Amino acid sequence: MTILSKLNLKTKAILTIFVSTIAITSLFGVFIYLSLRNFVYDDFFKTLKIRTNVIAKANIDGAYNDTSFVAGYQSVIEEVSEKLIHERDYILELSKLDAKNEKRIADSVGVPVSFLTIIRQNKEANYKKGQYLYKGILYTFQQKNYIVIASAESHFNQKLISHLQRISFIAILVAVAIGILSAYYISKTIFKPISQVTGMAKRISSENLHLRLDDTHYSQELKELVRTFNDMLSRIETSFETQNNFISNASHELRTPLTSIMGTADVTLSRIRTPEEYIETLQVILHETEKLDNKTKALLFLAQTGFNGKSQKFERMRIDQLIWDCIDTIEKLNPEGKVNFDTSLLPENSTRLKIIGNEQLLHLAFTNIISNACKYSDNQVVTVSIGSSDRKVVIVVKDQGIGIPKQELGYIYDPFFRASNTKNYDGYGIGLPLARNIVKLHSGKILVTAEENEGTTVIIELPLAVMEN
Amino acid sequence: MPKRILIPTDFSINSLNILKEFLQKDESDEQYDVVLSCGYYLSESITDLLFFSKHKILRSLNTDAFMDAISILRNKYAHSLHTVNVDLFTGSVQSSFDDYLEGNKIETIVFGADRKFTKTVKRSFDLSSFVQKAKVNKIMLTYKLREDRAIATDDLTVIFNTAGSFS
Repeated sequence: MTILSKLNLKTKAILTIFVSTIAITSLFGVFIYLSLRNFVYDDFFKTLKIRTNVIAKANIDGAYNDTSFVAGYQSVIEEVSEKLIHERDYILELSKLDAKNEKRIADSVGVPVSFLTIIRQNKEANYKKGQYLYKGILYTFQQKNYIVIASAESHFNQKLISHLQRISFIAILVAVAIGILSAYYISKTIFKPISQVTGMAKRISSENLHLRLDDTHYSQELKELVRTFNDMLSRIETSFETQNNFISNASHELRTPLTSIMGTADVTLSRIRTPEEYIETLQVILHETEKLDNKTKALLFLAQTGFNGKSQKFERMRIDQLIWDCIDTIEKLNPEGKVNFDTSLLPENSTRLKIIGNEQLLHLAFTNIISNACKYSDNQVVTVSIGSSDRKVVIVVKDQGIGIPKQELGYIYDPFFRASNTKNYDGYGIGLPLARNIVKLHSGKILVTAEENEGTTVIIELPLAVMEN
Repeated sequence: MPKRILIPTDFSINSLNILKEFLQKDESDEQYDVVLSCGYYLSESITDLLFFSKHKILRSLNTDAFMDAISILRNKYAHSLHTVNVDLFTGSVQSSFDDYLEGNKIETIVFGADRKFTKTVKRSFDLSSFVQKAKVNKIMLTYKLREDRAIATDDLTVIFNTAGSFS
């Protein structure tokens, strides 16, 4: 048991196949041997029965018939019917048999007394002693009963066994060959892909979490496994990015007001000032601190995702409400940003705005996308439009900023990638990959189109909650 | 009883802005059955005519984005948009267009003053010359379609922002 548990699955499977093919073949061989042996003995007893009849005819009836009758049966025995090995035939007149000489006669024939008794009762009997088979019948001629016994050595048995041995040897060879072939097939179709998947999975670490396993050329079950693994990676990546996002946001958003507070205090402290100046300075500092407080609150709110210890719940929510909240957060983080929420295509029926989603994650995604739009368009107006078809909600975030160079559009979802024209802007290249992962978790789609120096358009499509009516 | 109106279209999302503009300006409590129609030259081949199927052609013309845009408008104007149907006009002379209008019980044709027709398929054609001479009520919207740059016919964003600050 301990050895078995130490073996890996591959060896186990191959061993199982080997053992089972050989076991099945041997079982089959034994079964065939037994049934064949029975059949052969039956056949031999039938031959012996015919022989007893012929002998009875030739010897008992023959005594009352002419020589041509006897000669006919003799020729049947010698020429027509099968040659039997060590054939011995006996004819016993039943009336001469009694309890006294029965034992002696039976011994001389080589059969037990019970054999004769059974013949008397059932009119025939079979007996087998070593290689010899005995067939006895009760023969009645002219009101006289005779016991006719024919016996011969069964040559079949020996031949049969050697033949079966040969055949089963070949069969086991074939079974081993089949076992090897199927073990090869199994290791090729099942275990090799599994080790490939393992190899691919090993290459993924925290540095390259955006890599995904390729699931194109695998069987159904493995595809399922690979897909599950990829989903899990998406979730892990999202929570990783959530943390990175927080750090990047925090360092970027908190530094500016802090620098301003420090600068103001520093300048004011450089010499003695009038009370009015101190009041002014303190007001500036208070104002900046308030801003800082707002930002910290907003950041902490964003950072709650994944940190709050609660499981991420997906629930029914209104997408327009969420976007209002996001715009609110952005205004707190970046008071200069102008966001225009275009509700001209907002559906009349509010059920067309309900989606199943995680509010915090989606909040994070939209805040990232919209604040990126504000950042890269130098606080020009960003338009957020919403509309909903019968199947999905479409949200379009459009800015008039620096756009993205065409040849770099393919890389925008890679973590830490920053387009070549973003040198003047702070950032770490985390927001968009995070947003895409979140949208993907909601089985939505995100599409970015951009013209350099003209603006960027981000289209987010999220499936509507299934309507209950 | 909803009013039946016809709007010429070229199956681009841009053309749906006419419908959007019309519904935005409309202040009545009227309900509308909208027929979005596009001209389509029938093939001369007998086998093509034998296997002619309007549904098949419409299916090939309608992109998913176009249908999404229609349903976005339908959700937005749920109270006034009763139905929106997409149709083909397969005639070639004015009288057959008049018959087509009559057959579809069209009361009004709404079209943009600034027409821009994109051939989405080879056999489609602009209905505007027929619309000009049609004898039903006509509403011309002096609305400028966006043509700042080449817009893909299935660009869903076109339907947003049109009344907004930049175009």
